[in-house]
Amino acid sequence: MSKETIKKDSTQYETFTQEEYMIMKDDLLRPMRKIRLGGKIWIAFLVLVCCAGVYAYYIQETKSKYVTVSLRDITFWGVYISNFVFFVALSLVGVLMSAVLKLTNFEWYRPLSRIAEIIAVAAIMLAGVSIVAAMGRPDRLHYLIIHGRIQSPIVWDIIVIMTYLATSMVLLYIPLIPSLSTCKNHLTNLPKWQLKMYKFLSFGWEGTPEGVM
Amino acid sequence: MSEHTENSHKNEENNPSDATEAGRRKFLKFGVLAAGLSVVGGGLQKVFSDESKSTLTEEKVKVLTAEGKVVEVNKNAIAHPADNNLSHLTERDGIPNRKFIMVIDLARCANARKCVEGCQKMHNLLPPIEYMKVRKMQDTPLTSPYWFPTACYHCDNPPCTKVCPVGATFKRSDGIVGIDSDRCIGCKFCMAACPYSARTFNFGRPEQVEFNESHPKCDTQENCCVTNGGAVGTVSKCDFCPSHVAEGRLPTCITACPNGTIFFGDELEDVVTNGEETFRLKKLLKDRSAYREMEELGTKPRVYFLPPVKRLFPFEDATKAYNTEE
Repeated sequence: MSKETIKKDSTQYETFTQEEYMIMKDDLLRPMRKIRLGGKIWIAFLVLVCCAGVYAYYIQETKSKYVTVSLRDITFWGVYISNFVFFVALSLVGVLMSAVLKLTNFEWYRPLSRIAEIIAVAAIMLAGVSIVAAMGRPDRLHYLIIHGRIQSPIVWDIIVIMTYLATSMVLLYIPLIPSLSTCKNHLTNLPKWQLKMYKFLSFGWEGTPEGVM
Repeated sequence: MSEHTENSHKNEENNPSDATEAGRRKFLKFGVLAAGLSVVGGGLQKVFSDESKSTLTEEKVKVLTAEGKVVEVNKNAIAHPADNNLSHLTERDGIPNRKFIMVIDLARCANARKCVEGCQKMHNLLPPIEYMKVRKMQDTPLTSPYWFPTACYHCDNPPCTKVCPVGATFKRSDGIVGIDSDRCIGCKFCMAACPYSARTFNFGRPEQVEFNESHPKCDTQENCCVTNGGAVGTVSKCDFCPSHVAEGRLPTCITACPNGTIFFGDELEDVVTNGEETFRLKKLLKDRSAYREMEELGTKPRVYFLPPVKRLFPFEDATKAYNTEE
């Protein structure tokens, strides 16, 4: 990239005023500084839902493989695999959105890409969990590596999940770097290890045009 | 050869219960080397044993040849297939020079369900799990219904083995499609691939687990199955009773049937039997216009059906039809 284009680019980026930047910064940092009562209740509810899921899985693994979701010899995959397909498609849409917006060079996509990517990462993780929950012997998961047959569609499922997860993580992390840098600079009353973490994760990003290279 | 033995010993020390399995895997790993060495070793052994045999005995026995002549031969020259020591064969190795085949005569089935019960006893299964199933079949609204005993067809072009991610299900050289339940990860993809719904999943129902614990396998010679089909969280199915056929005995469903519906035999020997009657396989299939289920799929099943013509028993609707839910 030549110096002129960088200069042109940098002027392009400065589309918001100082006031707008302060609003954005406040939006970013507010939930990290203080969680209000409504938020706390919501988090507690979600944790409860997660615990219910873990307990249901515990019942399934200890009592019988089919008690929780009524699996039988004919409906042997049931809701697990429909969930798997749903979550894989969801994460695909996340990747697709950021890819399309990136290829079309739309600048307004930047905040949206984070939403798309965090959905993609969460969905692909849940897809992997669905597969493992549907397996009869999750303790033998490593057999897929030891005895894996590349001809089998299941092995390609695993490869797809791993690739999606890695790609989504990278695509999530790259647009997060400026925000992590903001956290590092503006969240002062944090424990030392969190500040160190932000410093490490933000890669020393300063937002200067030289840094882009 | 010695290297291979050493490896086996190492594995034995690490995990005595899994020694044969580990040894087998090692064998597969060093497959080419070990196979080459054992060919040489086996060849040498054969030369020595042949020499010693010819010098040992001169005893002659009379035998009847295929042409009907009585000839005298050296006693050592007679092979006893039943005496063959097959203990060196693992679950995955087929019995040499065998191609097992099954013929089911639909004209003889009266839904006595003795094959189902015998199979369940043999494999420690509790209802409703059945490897062998008897279904009610009606081809058209105008034709009479008939009973249709069915199990795994041990296809020559099996869709199930192709989709297995870990190679836990496999086609043996003797035609049997087997399952290694120590390797099965329970993904159930083979169940989705099988067009005949021959496979069942061990969901681990509490009563089944309890029953397996109270009825250990191989307690009697009659109730003995080499394949460990009951492992919770794995897929299992009809296995053509490999421990029985290795000893030259018929699978349990055939001996249990009171009407001699099911025939079992060897395609290479061109013969099938139900324990009482024996037929030439090709002639039987030709004369009775045998067919295989869903021929158009190209799975090439090893189980043939003889159409229900000149039935021995009238179809009784009063006989309870099981497995209607599935």
